[in-house]
Amino acid sequence: MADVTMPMNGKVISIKVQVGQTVEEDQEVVIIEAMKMELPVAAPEGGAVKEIRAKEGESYQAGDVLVVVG
Amino acid sequence: MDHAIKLIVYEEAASTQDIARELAQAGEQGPVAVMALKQTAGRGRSGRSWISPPGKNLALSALLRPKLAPREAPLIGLLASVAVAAALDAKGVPSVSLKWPNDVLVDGKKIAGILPEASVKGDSLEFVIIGIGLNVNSRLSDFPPELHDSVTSVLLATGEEWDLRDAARGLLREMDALHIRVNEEGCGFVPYFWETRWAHKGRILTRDGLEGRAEGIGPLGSLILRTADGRRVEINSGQAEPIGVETAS
Repeated sequence: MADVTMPMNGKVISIKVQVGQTVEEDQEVVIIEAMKMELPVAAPEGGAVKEIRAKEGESYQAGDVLVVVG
Repeated sequence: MDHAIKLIVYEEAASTQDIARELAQAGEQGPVAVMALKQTAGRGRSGRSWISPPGKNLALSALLRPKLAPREAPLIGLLASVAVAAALDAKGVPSVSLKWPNDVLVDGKKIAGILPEASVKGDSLEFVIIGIGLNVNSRLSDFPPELHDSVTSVLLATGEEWDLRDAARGLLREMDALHIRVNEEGCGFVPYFWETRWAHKGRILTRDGLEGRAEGIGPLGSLILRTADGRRVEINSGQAEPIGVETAS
């Protein structure tokens, strides 16, 4: 199980996967924004998307789990 | 050359941001900046197009690999706005100030915008790309009428044109000095530096229906507002507008 976590405090602006979808390691999963800086967040490991906890437009703290890949 | 950031000049390019990102992904270590004398597909935040009449304004993207943790990366965007402000000071542009998080204002009108991007791998910040759009030689007639009260340029502010390559060099000189300082001592000084140029400190700002007095900048670059009922609210994304004053976004 590999969690995709928030690398910094900021807002999720786009979620690029769906539950059940298979993702590769380093594939972009979520795009976030913090202080106008845009940043793609990638899956640390390949696998199936088990759960999407993040919502587009919502703010999260560094370390919060956005997507569960297992 | 009095800056360590290498400058690559294109006569014409679709997007300096895309070129800088391709360089980074191909392994370029930088620091390097790409500028286009004519940018044909420039973009602002969230994919908005960036209005840039050919040959009149500076479109530049700098690739940096600062020694910072991912959570500190947004401070580089704030730092870039400080660099632009310092370069404008050195050029003799009066009344330069900053709007959170990284717009540069002259007399309250927007003169430059920053489009920062970052790439993170695991717990490491791989690189940062700082896109800068600076209105240099534009006249009011170059902007849409609805922006005439909220934008300006170096030419409009000083009455003098500025060679775009000289503008890029002036900007990179300031950015280089700040980048070196970050790599030597970390980014703890950035919020303080930024705050000294803040246009709206102490003003009432609004964002998504929330109002509060602009109290400070957090250690990672967030905007700290104090609401009328005394709550301390930290904002990490988007932007906040001063009540009663319009500026371009």
